[in-house]
Amino acid sequence: MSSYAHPQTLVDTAWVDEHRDEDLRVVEIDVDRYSYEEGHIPGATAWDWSRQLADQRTRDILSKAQFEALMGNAGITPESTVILYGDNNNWFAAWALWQMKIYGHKDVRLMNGGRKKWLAEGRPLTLEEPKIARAKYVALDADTSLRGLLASVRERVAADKIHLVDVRSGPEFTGEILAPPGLPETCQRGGHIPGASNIPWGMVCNDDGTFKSRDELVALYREQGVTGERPVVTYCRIGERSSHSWFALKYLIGWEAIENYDGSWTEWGNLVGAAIER
Amino acid sequence: MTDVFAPKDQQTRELEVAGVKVRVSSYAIRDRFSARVENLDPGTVIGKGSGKTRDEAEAKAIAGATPGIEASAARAFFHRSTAELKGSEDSQ
Repeated sequence: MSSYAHPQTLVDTAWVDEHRDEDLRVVEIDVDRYSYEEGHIPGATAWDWSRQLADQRTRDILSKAQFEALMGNAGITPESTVILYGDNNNWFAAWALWQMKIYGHKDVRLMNGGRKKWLAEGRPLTLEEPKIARAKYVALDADTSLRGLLASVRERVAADKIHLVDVRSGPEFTGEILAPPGLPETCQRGGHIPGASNIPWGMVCNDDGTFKSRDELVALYREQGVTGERPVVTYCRIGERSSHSWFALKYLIGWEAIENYDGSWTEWGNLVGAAIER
Repeated sequence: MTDVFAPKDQQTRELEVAGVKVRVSSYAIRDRFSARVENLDPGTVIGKGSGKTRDEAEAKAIAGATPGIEASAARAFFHRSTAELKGSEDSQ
């Protein structure tokens, strides 16, 4: 059985529990602060994905200055070991990790299984918010090789130069539904980007939310013709489920050219003049 | 010394809300219960609630999820109706 390509990017709940009193920066990332305020890992701060990890005015990832401010306010320096976890099976934590990698943070790790596993194991929670001393954070310029942007994705789809992985559910992929039950529809059309393979995010996880082994992940993607020989671009509805699969492809399997197309179906499905498949 | 506590009595079950299968999870935190409602696929949290009893927490979470699920069902009906109308127009 092969090991993960970058095992240092993943830690288990037992490790976090054992080391949480050490000099780590543990951050919970959810869609809002509701879960965090009910009880969180002792020592953890919180980021609200919808307000703090995206520029709401431009519908973009954080600018370098915004990223540096977020890190500094959380007491994170470029040398910090950062542990991320959260609700929704670590989707938002993976989104945060993706941005931290875009801006060059070296040591950032996902807690395998996320908040759900921590709760299931009956591990300690607290209501206390840690007192954080602001830090100075100087980020690197954005590494755009980790991000798929519309023009580039569109051009490479037309030239058949990339392998697109659509991580949404089957009914979203086929266009039977435009959004998961209970969520708002954000696009005019249902379907998928031409040529995409449908490998839903949940297939990379075990029942407890932890990631499958490297061998299982490779077999899963190879079954759909995704081998890493061509650049792989993941997408979903708004880019956070796809960042979870991006992490699995990039850091657990270890294929090099992996991008997250965060415009995702919300962007492509609303485009004038962009072909779709159903 | 940080005041810590552990979640207890976790339960998960599936049920139908407005015709859609969902997963309801709940657990006790100190003197209250917390509940979440998730759609089964892809597993998004669509309702949350807390209360003095498990039933109260779950009822709030389900109440929070129901409008969104009903709106999704209404939109799906609208899309199907529109498609059927277009199909009947095309065949005329």
